[in-house]
Amino acid sequence: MSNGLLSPLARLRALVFSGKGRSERELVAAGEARVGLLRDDFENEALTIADRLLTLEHDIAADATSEEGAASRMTARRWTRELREASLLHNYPLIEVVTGSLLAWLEDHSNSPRLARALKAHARALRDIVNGKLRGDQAHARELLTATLQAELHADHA
Amino acid sequence: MSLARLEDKKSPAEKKFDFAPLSILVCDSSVSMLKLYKEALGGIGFGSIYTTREVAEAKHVMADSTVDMIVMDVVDEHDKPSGLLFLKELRRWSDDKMATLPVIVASSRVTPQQVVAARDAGMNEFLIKPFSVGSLFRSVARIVEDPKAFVRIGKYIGPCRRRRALPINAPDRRRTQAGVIPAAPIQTAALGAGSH
Repeated sequence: MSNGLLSPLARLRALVFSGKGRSERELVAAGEARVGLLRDDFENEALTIADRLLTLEHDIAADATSEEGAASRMTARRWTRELREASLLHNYPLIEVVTGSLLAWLEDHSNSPRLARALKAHARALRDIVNGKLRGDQAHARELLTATLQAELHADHA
Repeated sequence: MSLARLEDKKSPAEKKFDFAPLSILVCDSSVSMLKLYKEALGGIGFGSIYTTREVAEAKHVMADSTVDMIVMDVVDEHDKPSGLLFLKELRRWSDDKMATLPVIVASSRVTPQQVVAARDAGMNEFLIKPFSVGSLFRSVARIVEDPKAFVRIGKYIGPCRRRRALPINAPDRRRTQAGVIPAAPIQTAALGAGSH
């Protein structure tokens, strides 16, 4: 312990409430402003993750239940989850919709070819959102996404 | 009356927080999440922010630098609960200053079982991902505003898990039990230079 009279947490408390500083509202606003500056980085990240997801398509299509397929599926889940978390913090509802939908696919579906097609369709939708081809509010986005995914799934299946 | 006690009397909107003297370590396997943490915690005012992707790196930072608080994801990049395992290990370190470090456990998959597991591993706060800057702030603020006694009882080592003050019909012996490090009275005058 750094000081015999103070427990570690009491020491932190004394440092934080030393009479200086700013209010909760000011500090949270400062944090939100700095997080907001990462929006461009986030868009690049979303494109990168969309491209990375596409690289997993082959393993998943071959056999989602094999060792390689399961590992690819786990990796896809991790990347998608990361992107979803960041999309919520950066307020990108369209990406939130797509990543939420893809997570559900990755967690609930074991049919390999169909899962691989869904992965591809979602990754394409992500690229379209970042490139500005898919626009609209969240409800509109859900409709667009549904239509896009249906078209992609049917086209690939044909 | 100490400044910390004076702050207690103020309404939440009037309280002034200064995290500049503190350093915080964040461990999360996602590089983009680490960027977000860094900016959010920087805005909140932490003086030093260390970011690591793995528990092993986090241990190196703790060995080389002063760390006052930790934010750690439950799972690593392989979806293994390495964050929770590390928390259990940390609470058993022989160095009191390290063993009692406040730890915020973050997770994107929140089930009651996972929250109980994190609580029983010795967490101070649980942060649900995706988090807002406001919820991150409140997790950090709760640790300093409402410090919990650190207890070593039976198999459990960590901050007191009681969150509710329920009446008891017997003498209260909790503060006299061996293994309890109480949240000591605030004595800002005794806080020596170089304590950080």
